[in-house]
Amino acid sequence: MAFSNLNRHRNILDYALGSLWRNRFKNTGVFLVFSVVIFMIASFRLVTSSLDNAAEQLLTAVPDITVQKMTAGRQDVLRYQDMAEIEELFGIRDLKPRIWGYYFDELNGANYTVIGDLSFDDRQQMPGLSIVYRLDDGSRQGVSPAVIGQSVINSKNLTGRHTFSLFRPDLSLKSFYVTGAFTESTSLVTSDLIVTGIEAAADLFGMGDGELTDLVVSVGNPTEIDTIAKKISERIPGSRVITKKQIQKTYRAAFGWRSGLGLVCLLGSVGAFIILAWDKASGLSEEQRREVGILKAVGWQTADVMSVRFWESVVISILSFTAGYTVAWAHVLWFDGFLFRPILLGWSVLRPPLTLFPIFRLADLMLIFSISILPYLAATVMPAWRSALVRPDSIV
Amino acid sequence: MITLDSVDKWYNRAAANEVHALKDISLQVWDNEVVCIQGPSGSGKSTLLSILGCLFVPTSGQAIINGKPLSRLPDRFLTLYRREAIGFIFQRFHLVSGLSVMANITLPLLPLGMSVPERQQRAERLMQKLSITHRKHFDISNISGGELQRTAIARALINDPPIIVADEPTAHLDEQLSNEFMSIVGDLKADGKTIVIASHDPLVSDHQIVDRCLLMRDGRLEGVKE
Amino acid sequence: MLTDAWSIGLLSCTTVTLFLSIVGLKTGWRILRSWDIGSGSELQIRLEEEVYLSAVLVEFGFAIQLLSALMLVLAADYFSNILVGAMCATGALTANSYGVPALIVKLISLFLSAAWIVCHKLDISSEYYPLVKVKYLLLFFIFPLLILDSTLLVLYLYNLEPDIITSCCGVLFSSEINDGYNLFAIMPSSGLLALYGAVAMVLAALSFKLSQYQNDTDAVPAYISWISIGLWLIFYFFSLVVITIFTSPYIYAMPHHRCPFDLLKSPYLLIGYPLYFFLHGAVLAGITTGIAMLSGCRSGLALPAARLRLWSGRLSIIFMAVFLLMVIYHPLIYQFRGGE
Repeated sequence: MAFSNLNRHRNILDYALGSLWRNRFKNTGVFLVFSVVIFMIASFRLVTSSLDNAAEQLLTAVPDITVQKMTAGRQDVLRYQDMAEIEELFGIRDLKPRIWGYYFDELNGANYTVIGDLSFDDRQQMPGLSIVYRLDDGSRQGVSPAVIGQSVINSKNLTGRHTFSLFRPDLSLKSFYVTGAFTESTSLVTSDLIVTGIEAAADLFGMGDGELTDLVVSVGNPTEIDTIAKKISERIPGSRVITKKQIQKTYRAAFGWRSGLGLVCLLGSVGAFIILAWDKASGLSEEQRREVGILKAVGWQTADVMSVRFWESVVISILSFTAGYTVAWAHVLWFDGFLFRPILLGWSVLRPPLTLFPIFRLADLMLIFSISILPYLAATVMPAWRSALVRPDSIV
Repeated sequence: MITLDSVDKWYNRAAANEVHALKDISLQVWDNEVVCIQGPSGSGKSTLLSILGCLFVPTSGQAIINGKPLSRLPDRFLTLYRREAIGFIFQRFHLVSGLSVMANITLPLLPLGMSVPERQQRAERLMQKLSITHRKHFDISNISGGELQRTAIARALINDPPIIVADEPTAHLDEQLSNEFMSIVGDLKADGKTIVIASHDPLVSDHQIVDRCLLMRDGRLEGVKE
Repeated sequence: MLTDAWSIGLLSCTTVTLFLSIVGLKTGWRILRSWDIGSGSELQIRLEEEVYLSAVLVEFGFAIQLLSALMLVLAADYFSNILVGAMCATGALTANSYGVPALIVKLISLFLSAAWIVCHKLDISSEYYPLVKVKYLLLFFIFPLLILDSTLLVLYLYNLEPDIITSCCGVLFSSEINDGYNLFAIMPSSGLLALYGAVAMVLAALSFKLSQYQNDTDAVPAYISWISIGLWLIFYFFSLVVITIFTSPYIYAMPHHRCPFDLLKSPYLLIGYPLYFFLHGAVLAGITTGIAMLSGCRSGLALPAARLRLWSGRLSIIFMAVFLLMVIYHPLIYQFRGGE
C-alpha cells in the first residue's frame, strides 16, 4: 500500500514536471523572483555565518577570565597588590597583569585599542604576524616596540616607515617602533590593535605606578572557570569578572541582532513575493481549466489534482532555492558579500579588511526554508484547491 | 447492467437560473448492449450521459450501475467507481495538448500508482489493437483526426472498463472516420463491453451494430426509434 | 530576541500555521453546520470538496509543527551560546517560564494533528464519512492549542534576555534531591526503569493482540482502545524521562550532562534523530491502532479500520523494539566494556 502510494506520487510528480514545462513562461517569472528573494536571504545568512565563524575561531584566544575594577559603575584601575588577593586560588594556572585601553587619534579620527602585556617581548618569536622587524638593543632608548594591526598601519601611513608617535595625556609624544604587524586573517579583532609592553602602555596613558586595567587569568580546568570567577569576585571587592564564554556570547548576540534586523527588512520582499505567488497560482486559464476537467473526467480525484499543484510548487521551490543559494554562495565567496557587508560590519572608521568564506550550515537551510519556501507553499494551497474544483462534467 | 429509475437532474435548484435537465428518466441497459440516445440539442443527452458515465449523481431517483447504487455516492467514491467501471469518449476527444499519444492514453493510470513499464505495456496493447503504435511519441497536435479519435478510445479503454460511454463521437468526423468508429464499437461489443452512445448522427443511430436507439426530447425519453 | 534570525524563522512557521488553521476552522465550521451525506445538493458536493481542503491544511500544519518543534530545539541550542549560564538547549528553554510549555504544547498539537489525519484517512475510506463530526470537533480543539503555542512562543522569544542567568541541564536534570530544580528524582532510577519496562511490555502485548483481529466480529470494548492510547502517551512521557536521565549521560560520557536535546548534535553522531524518529513513530503508530479500533464499528469502516490496525499495530511494535534497543545500547556497552 505504501509502495503504491509512493508510485502514485512519483507518477503525479512526473505529470507535474510536464505541466511546469508546458506552462514554462508563466512559471519562469515566479522562479526568477523567488530565486532573487532566496538569494537575498541566503546572502545575508551566509555573510552572518561567515563572520560568526571567523569571530569564533579568533575568540578561542580570549583569556579564560578577565578581571576589571569598577567604581561608581565605571571602570577603574586595578593595582598589582590586587593580584596577591587571588594568585593562590586553587585552579589558577597563570595570572598576568594587563593594560587595555583605547586611544583616540585626533589626527585621523581613529580609535586604537592598546594592549600592554607583561610578557610582551619583541625579541621572542611571535606567531601570527605578517611582518617582523628586529629592534636592536641600541635603538631601544626612547622608543617602545609595538605590534600593530593593518588599519593602524594604513591610518598612520606606516608603509615604508617603522616608527610612529602618539600623544600622552600631557601632550608629550610617546614613540613606538613597529616590530610586527598582524596578519589580515585576524583583522576582525586585530585591525585596530596596538600591542606593546605593559610599561609602555602605562606610559602612553599616563597611568600611575603599579596601576593596571585588567588581570588576565588562565584556569587549568575549563569546567572550573565559573567557580573560580565567582571566587575572584568575592576576593576583590567591586571587581567585574568576565569569563571567556561571556565574551563569546556577547559577540554572538551582537551579530545575531544585526542579522535578525536585516532579515526583518527582507521580510517585506518575501511578503511581496507571496502575494505574487498567490496571484499567479489563482489565475487559471481556459486551457488549464479544461485540463483539470479532463483529469477529473478520466478518474483523477480532487486530491490527485491538488497533488499536481503541490509538486509544481515544490519543484519551483527547489529550483529557486538551488539557484538563489548558489548565486548567494558565489556572491559571498567571489564578491565578498558586497551587498550586505556594510550592514553587518559596523560603523568604525577602521573597517577591517576581511575575506569572507561562506559556510554551509543545516541551521541556515532550515531558516531560509521557513522564511521563504514555507510561506510560498502555504500561499499556493488555497489556489491549488480551487483549481482542483473544476467539475468533470464541465467538459461534456 | 445499467438501471435508471425516475431520475431527475436539476441545475441551480431554487435559483433564478434553475434548469430541470432530466425529467423522470427510467431506462435499463443490458450487459453487452449497444444503445444509442438520439435527440436534438438541449434535449438532455449530455446530462443523461454524464449520469451514466458517473460524472455526477442525479438530484433524485435511483441510478444503479452493475449492481452499485450511485445516487447518493459521495463524489470521491463516484470517481473511484468511474475509474474502474466507465470509459468515457468525449465529443471533442478532450486530449491534453502538449502531451504525447502514449501520455494521453496512460493518463487515467497515473493516480493508481501503476509503474511505468506496466502502464506502457497496457498502452502498447491498445495502441496495437487500434493501429496507432507508430504515433505513440507524437504530440497530439501533430496527428490526424482519426488518430485523435483512436487515442481517445484507447484512453477510455485503458482501465478495461465494462461500460463505454460516448458523447457525440462522430460530430467532428467525416463519413469514413465515422464508419471506422462504428467498426471499433463492433469490436468492443465483441469483447463483451456495454456501450452507450449519444448521437444525432443517423450513421450511428441507424448502424446495424446498435441494438436500441432511444429518443430524447426536452429532458424526457420518448421511446425507441423504429 | 525577537529580531534574531532563529526567532524570525520560528515566528514565520507559527504565522503560517495560524493562517492555515484559521482557513481550516472556517471550513470545519461550514461542514459541521451543513453536512448531510444523504443529500446530493450542490452545497453537499461543495462541502465534500472542502473536506479535501481541510485535510491538506491539517497535513500541512502537522508538517510545519514537526519542523518548528525541531527548529525550537535547534534555536534553543543556538540561544544557549548567547544566554549567560545556559550550557545547552535545556538551559535556553528554561531561561524563562515559557520555553518548556511552548515545546510541550507544540508536541501535544502535533499528536492531535496526527490523530486528526488518521481519523481523516479512515473517514474518507467509507462512503458514509462516519467520522466527519468527530474530526471537525477535534479541529476546534486543536485550534486553541495552536493559538496557545504561538502565544507561548512569542512570549518565550520576547522574554529572552542575553544577560539572564539560567540553569544548565546538568543542574536541572541532576539526580540530587535537594537542589530545587529536580523534576525527575521522584523515584529511584531503577524503579523508573522497571516501571518503564513493564509499560513497554504491556504495550507490546496489547499492540500484538490488537493487530491480530481480522474483522469486526471480534469486538473489542472501547475502553481497551482508550487504555491503549493512554498507555502509549504514558510510554512517550516515560521515554523522554528515560532518555534524559538514563541514556543521555552514557552517550555524552558525562554523568551530569543530562540533556535530551544535545543528542541531535553532530558530536554525538546525530543519534537523537533516529532515536526520536523511532520513538515518535512507535507512539503515533500505537495511537493509530487505538483510533482504528475505536472507529471499526462505524458504518463502512470495518474493513479499512481492520487493515489499518494490522499495519499500524505491527509497525508500533517494530519501532518500539528498535527504539528500546537504541535506549539501552550505550548503557549496556558501558556496563560490559567499561566505557568507550
